[in-house]
Amino acid sequence: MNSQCILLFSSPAKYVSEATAAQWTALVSEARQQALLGSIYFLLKDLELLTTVPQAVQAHLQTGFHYAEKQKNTLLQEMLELEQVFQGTEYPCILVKGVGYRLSNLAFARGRIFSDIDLLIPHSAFADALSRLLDSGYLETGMSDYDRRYYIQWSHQHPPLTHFLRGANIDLHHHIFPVASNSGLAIEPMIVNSTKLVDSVFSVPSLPYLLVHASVHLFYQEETHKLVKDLCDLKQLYQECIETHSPEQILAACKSMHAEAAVYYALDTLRWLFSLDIDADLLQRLAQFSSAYRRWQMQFLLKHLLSASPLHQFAHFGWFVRGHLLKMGIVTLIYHSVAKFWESRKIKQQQSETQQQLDAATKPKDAE
Amino acid sequence: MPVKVFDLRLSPFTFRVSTSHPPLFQQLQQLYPPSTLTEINLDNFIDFEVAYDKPTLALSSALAFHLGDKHFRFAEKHSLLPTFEWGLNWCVGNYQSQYLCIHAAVLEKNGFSVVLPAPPGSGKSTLCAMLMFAGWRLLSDEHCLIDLEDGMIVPCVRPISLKNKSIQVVNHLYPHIDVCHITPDTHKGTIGYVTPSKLSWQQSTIKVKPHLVVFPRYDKDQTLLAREQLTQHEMFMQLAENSFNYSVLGALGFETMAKFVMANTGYRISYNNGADAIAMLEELCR
Repeated sequence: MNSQCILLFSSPAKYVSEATAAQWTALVSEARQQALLGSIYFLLKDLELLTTVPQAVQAHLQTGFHYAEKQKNTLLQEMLELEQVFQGTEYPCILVKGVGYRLSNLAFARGRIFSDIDLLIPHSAFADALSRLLDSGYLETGMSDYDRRYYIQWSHQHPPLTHFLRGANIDLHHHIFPVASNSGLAIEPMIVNSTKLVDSVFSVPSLPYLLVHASVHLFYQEETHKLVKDLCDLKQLYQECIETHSPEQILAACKSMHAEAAVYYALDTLRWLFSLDIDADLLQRLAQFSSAYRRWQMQFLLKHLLSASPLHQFAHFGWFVRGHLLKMGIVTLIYHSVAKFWESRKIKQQQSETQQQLDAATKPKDAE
Repeated sequence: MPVKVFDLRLSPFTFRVSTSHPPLFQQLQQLYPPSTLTEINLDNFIDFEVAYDKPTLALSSALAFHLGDKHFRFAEKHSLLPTFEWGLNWCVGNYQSQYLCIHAAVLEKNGFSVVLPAPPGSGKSTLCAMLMFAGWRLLSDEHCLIDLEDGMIVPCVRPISLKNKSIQVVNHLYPHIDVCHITPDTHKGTIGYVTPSKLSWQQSTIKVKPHLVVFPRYDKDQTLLAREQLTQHEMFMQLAENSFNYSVLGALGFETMAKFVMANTGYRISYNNGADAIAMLEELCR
């Protein structure tokens, strides 16, 4: 295992006492890339290990803490704006993923960095929510016609919206998984099992449902650049969930959303990757929904993705294809791949021309 | 593709550089003393692992400066060194908040510090180089780092970068000084470097107390040296505007900046003769 972050999250005390200078260097680089510096800051602080870390490393963890605090303030400001936007709505407005963790005051969310506000709205109210956001200055920016069509036809969300002044990003979802897939995941139970935040129009799903969502996200994703972060998050989310909820409650959430398999693969991954103690009965009851091949495939790809193995690049490709196949099925995937190939060629050509024009305009002297 | 990996051990930040352009190491030897530019040593913690490589499969010879997956910018072959130096600035400006960081030059003489924040074109680097030639110790030409705990200024010694006419000015006034790696046609114009004085390198870990903040402006039409004292709130706002991470630090940034402003006296000066400006700064630091 070459991922220093996973080693640290697996066994913080052991890591802190044994890590070499080279490991600390690699840890800080990886944690900066994965936006985990703030999470590690709080993890070590809670365990009273922070002061035992080398001073130079502490300084970078402190930087992560500052960014997370800054983002918390920005988020709260934006939420006040969004309260106005959704004032008077009678449908559920549900905050999921990072913003959901943060606003339900989960301990592990204190150091987390996230890039957008994920809002889940029932399909029947989606058009109203979208028009409210558009009317308030959250606009679609810089997306090709094909990508826009992809979002609207096949995915589970509207193209990302960005506030024209404040730059805040919103992902407006009507499901947690692409409609083009055959996953059969049910979204209603997650909506029903959400609790309103105090003095707010927004709700947050209960912890077991947040866990199901994060598991589905991990199991079905095709991107690899934030994989380590997602895994470390999921580990902490499970630990926090199992402290306050029984395995039966987690099982009930999985069953109601038809997400048993995804949660099994996710928890099984946490077990072998972090040597995490997962409730054996829960794992066993979920196992019947899994496939031995998928389990092997996931472990195989993750092992090579998280190490400097000769199959590292292959694993990237494998993870990408696997994620897309789960999301859209083979026919849609072939169509999508061909369309993206042509489009990316066109965009590259355009970008290269624009860049050359820009370079010509800024060279040689724009500063005295 | 030949790859050279080396350490650049500066204070307070250390860099490990991996590059597909090995001559970069020799070029940097002209700017940094041997004690700072070394083969890699895995026993040392490194703050920033940077890559300066030709991207795989890229057709052009441009190198890309990266910190992890964060891309800074591409450099054409003729401007490799300036882009590398800007890349280091970018790391310090964007990926640390252990210090409040202001875009400013800092120098010190007899225990008195002067911070020179200014937009490009104001003559900051020229004045900074002239002060160093007049015996002042250089703490930085680019980053005024303020310790969040004790409010002291932390040195971040690196070569002074001179732009365009400044190079001619320094060459003319100080013919014995070598402005090296003069690079024309960068996106900032012509760039050249002056190495820090021996004293500056020797004392590169010694912090200094805040004393004076001066916003300089070179104005060739200004016949007399003009000096105007700044109110504390003017100084505060201008420093905040010139800071890289004031807003990231939130309340802590505000408190640190407030203490810093209260520990300083601030001026705005206009000059057309560097020697006059230096004489004034010497007077204010007595």
